[in-house]
Amino acid sequence: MQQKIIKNFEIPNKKNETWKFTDLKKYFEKNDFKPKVNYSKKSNSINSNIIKNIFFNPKKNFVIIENGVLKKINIKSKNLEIKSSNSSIKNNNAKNFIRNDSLLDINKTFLNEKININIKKNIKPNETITIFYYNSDNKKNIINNKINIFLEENTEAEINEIFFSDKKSIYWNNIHKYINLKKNSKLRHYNIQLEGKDALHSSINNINCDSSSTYNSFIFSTGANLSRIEAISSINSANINFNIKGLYIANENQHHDITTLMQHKKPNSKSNQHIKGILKKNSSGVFQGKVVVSKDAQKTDAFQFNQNLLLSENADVNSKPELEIYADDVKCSHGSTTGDLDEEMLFYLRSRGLNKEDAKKILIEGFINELFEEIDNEEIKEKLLKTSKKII
Amino acid sequence: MLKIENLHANVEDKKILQGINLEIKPGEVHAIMGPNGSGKSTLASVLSGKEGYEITKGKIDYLKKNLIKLEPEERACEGLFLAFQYPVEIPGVSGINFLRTTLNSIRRYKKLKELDGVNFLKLLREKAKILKMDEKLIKRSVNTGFSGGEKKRSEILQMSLLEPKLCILDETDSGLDIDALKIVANGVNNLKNKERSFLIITHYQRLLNYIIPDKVHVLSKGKIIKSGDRNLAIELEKKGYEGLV
Repeated sequence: MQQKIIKNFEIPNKKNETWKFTDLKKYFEKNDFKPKVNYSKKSNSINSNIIKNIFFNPKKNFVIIENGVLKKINIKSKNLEIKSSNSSIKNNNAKNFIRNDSLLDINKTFLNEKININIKKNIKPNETITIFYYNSDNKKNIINNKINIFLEENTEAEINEIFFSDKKSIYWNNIHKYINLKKNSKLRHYNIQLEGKDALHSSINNINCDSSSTYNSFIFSTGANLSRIEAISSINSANINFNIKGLYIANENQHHDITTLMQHKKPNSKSNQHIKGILKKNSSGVFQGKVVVSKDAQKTDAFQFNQNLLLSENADVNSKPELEIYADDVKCSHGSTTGDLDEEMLFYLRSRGLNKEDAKKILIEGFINELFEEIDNEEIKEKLLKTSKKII
Repeated sequence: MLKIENLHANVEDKKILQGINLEIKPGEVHAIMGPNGSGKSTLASVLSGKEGYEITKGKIDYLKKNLIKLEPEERACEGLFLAFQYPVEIPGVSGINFLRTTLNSIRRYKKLKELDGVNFLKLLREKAKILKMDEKLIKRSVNTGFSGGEKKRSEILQMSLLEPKLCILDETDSGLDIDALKIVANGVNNLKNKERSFLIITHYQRLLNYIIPDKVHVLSKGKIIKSGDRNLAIELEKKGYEGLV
């Protein structure tokens, strides 16, 4: 086998059209990351940092990936299949997710772990499945994981992914997720990125939807030095309901990027994207969202909205919402706003006796709450709210 | 309670208020009427401390304090309340939490004990009943998706909760149908007492059929050009501003 090294790959940078605002290469070079080489280290005990994580619940289904390697699979629900796998699954839909950068190639070449989660036909596990990605070493590794999530016909599931680390670790998490929703399936997907502040995070979510399926996702991103979360979706059939809500909060020196591509290929489906960003200190943020409605995708209902709150003069945002419509009978809208807190709202609260600082705090929380109101899982909602409040 | 002397104010170099003199004593209800652009809303904004207004001359004495020097929140804590003409919608901020936070903020300032959730809800229900406000509405985000009338009612609800000393109503009657107008007026009349004063800013006389003013002033081009009792309002309704201005 030909030995491959990371130097053979062009790390995404400003020369790539879709990376115009996020220079991953610059951050990569600062730390000279190397792909992690697997070695076996057997231990059944779960790291106490994982147990202490607010999202950890030993009574539910969970998977732990520690430093890029599968540590434990805990299945509580019947008929649920979660397996580590070496075999490659033939992906007939790969053409829906063609890329012009190297991230997937890197992921494939240096893959550390592949996990398949399969929800069998007509099964609706009432327990959630949580995947913990925990990192504790500072060897400047590139960690490449791939997660395949298959929902067969008439299934329903909730998957929560939590990315986190101990404070000191330095690594680049390069994750590829392939989500396949078959007919009448329904997935709630929480993507919670709380990586350590020296980490890099790049994750690609490829979501493939078949007829009458529903995808509801919430992206919550506050960690890492640089974070890029992509949701690339393909609507291949009719009557699909697709929702992405997202919030990133960027603090000192952080760069957060949420990039989406919504491909409507067939008629009568709905998509709704609402992404918010809060930027503090000298942080930067990016939203790139593209909605493509093909000629065949009549009666599509596509909505996309990005709102950014700049809380510092040194913070900046690049927001690029795009619509590309080739069908003539569709309802599509998009918008983007970026700015400081609303002066009228601030004055209103102050005129009711709240001091400026308290009024600001209430408005920032309101900005977040407006998105959180739509989270069904009360437990997650509460935890995310708590996590957000700590930062703002 | 409130004494305005020779008040001049500009908005972006444009002279809006040009020498207002007005004195309101405790327990009095004053109405300021005037055509569009006469400076009515500017007066309300200046009194509440909104930014963007430059006071070039004159003074405002409120409860023996220099009002101009106070921050908007200090004015509120000192008992000044403005019911906005266009209350802003604040999505994501729960109405109930907002009301409780403001009430407790003012109670803290007055060195009173803060109200806990149970006692607050009890008080809120009592007040909402007078204004015939649906509890579901209050539970929603502040003013979000409210109709014009609901927004005005919500302003008066806040007013009755915060128990201010001086209530300024900026065109509270605009956009209200007759039933809503009566409910709002009833809410205001319930708050009337010997200590509390009102400044009612309105374009039309009809609100003054339900909230009877002690004094009526006509504002034109940034000045009070005529003052009188409630008959002045009735006269205005008949003759219009044309005859006076």
